[in-house]
Amino acid sequence: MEQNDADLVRQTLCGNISAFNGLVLRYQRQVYSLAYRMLGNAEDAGDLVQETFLRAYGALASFRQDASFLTWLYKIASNLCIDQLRSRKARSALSLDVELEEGREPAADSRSCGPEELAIRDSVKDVVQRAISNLPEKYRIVVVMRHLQDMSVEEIAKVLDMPTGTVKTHLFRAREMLRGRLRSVLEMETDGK
Amino acid sequence: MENRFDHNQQEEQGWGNYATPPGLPGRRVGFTAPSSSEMGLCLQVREMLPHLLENDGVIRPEMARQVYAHLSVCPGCTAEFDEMQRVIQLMDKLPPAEMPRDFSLLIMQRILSPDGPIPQRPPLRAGINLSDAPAEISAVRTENPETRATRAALGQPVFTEALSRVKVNSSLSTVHRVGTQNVTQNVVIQASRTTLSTLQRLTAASVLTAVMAFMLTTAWGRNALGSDLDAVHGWMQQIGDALSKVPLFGRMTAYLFAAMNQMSDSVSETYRTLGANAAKGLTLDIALCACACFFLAARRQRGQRLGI
Repeated sequence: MEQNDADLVRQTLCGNISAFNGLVLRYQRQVYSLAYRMLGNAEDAGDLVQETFLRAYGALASFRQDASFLTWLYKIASNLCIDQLRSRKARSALSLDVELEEGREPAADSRSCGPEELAIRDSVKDVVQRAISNLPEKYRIVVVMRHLQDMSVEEIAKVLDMPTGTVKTHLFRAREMLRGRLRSVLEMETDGK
Repeated sequence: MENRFDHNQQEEQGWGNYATPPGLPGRRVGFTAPSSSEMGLCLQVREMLPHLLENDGVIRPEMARQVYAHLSVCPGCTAEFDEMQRVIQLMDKLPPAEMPRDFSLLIMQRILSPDGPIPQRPPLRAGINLSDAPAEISAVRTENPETRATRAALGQPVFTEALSRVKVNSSLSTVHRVGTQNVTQNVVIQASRTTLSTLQRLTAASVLTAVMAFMLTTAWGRNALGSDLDAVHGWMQQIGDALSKVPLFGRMTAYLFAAMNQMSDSVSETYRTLGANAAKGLTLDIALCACACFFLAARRQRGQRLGI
C-alpha cells in the first residue's frame, strides 16, 4: 500500500532516509517541469530541483501539515526560480553595460527578432517556450503553474502567498502578452487551416 | 436602464457548466441595445472573456449564455475569444519536460554526501511522548532495511552492526551523523522536556516561594528586604561585581541581581513609607505572582504538547 506524504515525512524525521527518497520519486517530475518552464533550460532546471529537495530535506522539521507537501515544495522551488531569474537579469544588465562601455554592439535578444523569423527558424513549441521565457517573472510563474502544471488559481495563490484576485490579474496580463507575442504563430495556424 | 446580465435563478438550474458553449443562436437573444452602444457592449463582453475561459464562477450561467449570444454576432469579440483559447491550446500542446534518468539518485547522493544538508531538529509536537520513545530508539539502533537498501543502491556505507559499534567506527561517522545522531538527540531531548519541564517549573516555584517565606519570617530576611537598605545594596553590589567578571553568564547574572536590587529598593521604600505589613504584603504578592506565572507557563506548554 502506498504511504501518504505525512507518513513519509514523519519517517524521514525519524531517520529513515529511504522515506525521503519516496518523496523525491513522487514529486521530482512536477518540480522539474516547473523549473524547466521557468528557467528555459535543462541544466539550470536540474540544479534547481536538486537544490529544492536539499533545502526541503534540511528544513523538513519546519514543514507544517496544513498544506500539502507538493505545495510546500512548489513554494521552495518558485522562490529559488525567482532568485535565479533575478540574478540572471542582474548579470545580463552588467554584461550589457560592459559591452556598451567597450563600444560593442549588444548581442541580439530573441525578443528583437521578428516573430516571423523565429517561427521559421524554430518549431512552434520553441516559439511558445521562448514567449513564455520572455514574460516578466511574476507573470511567467503564474502562467506556468496554471497552464503547464495544471494548478488551480487557489493553489497558485497559496504557493505564491498572493490573493487570488492578484493571481487572476497576473494570469490575464500574461496571456495578453503571450497573445501579442504569438500572433504570428496564430496567424500561421489560421492560414494553414 | 435594463441590466442585461441580471442573474436568473430559475434558468440557472440544470445548467451549471457554462464553459462549454451552448448552441449559438442565429439571432440576437437578450441583446436589444441600439447600435450606438455596441462598442460599450463589446468592452463589457471582452472584460468577461478571461473569466469565461477560467470558468472561475465570476460569470453566472445566464450571463455566460448572453456573452455567447453576443459572440455569435460580433466577429471582433469572437476573434479575440478565439485567440485567447488558441494561446492556451498552444501551451497545452507543449510536450512534458523530459527529466534526466536516475535523477532521484543524484538528489539522494547529494543528501547523503558529507557536505549534504543537516536536517533541523523537529519541534515538539503532539503525538510524540515517552511511550513512543523506546520504539524510536530501537528503530535507530538497528537501521531500517529500506534505508540500508537505498544506501547500497547509492554506493553509500551501510549499517551492519548495532548503533554502539557504529559510534566507534570513525569511517561511518558521516552516516551516523545523518542517520542517527539527530534522531537520538531528538528522542532524548523530547523525553527529558516532556517530563522534566513541568517538574523543573514546580521546583523553581517552590524554591522561590521558600526563599520569599524565609525572607519574611526571619529578622535577617526582613532586614535585607527593607530596613537596612545600604547593607542590601552593598551585598548585591559585591555579588554583581564578582559575577560580571565571568563572560556572558556573569553579565546575565549581574543583570538579574540588578533587577533584584531594584525590587529590593521598591520593597524597602514601601517599608519606609507604609510600614512593615505593607512591605510583607508586597513581597507576598511578588512571590504569588511568580508562582502563578510558572504554573501558567507550565500548563500552556503542556497544552501545546498535547495539541490542545
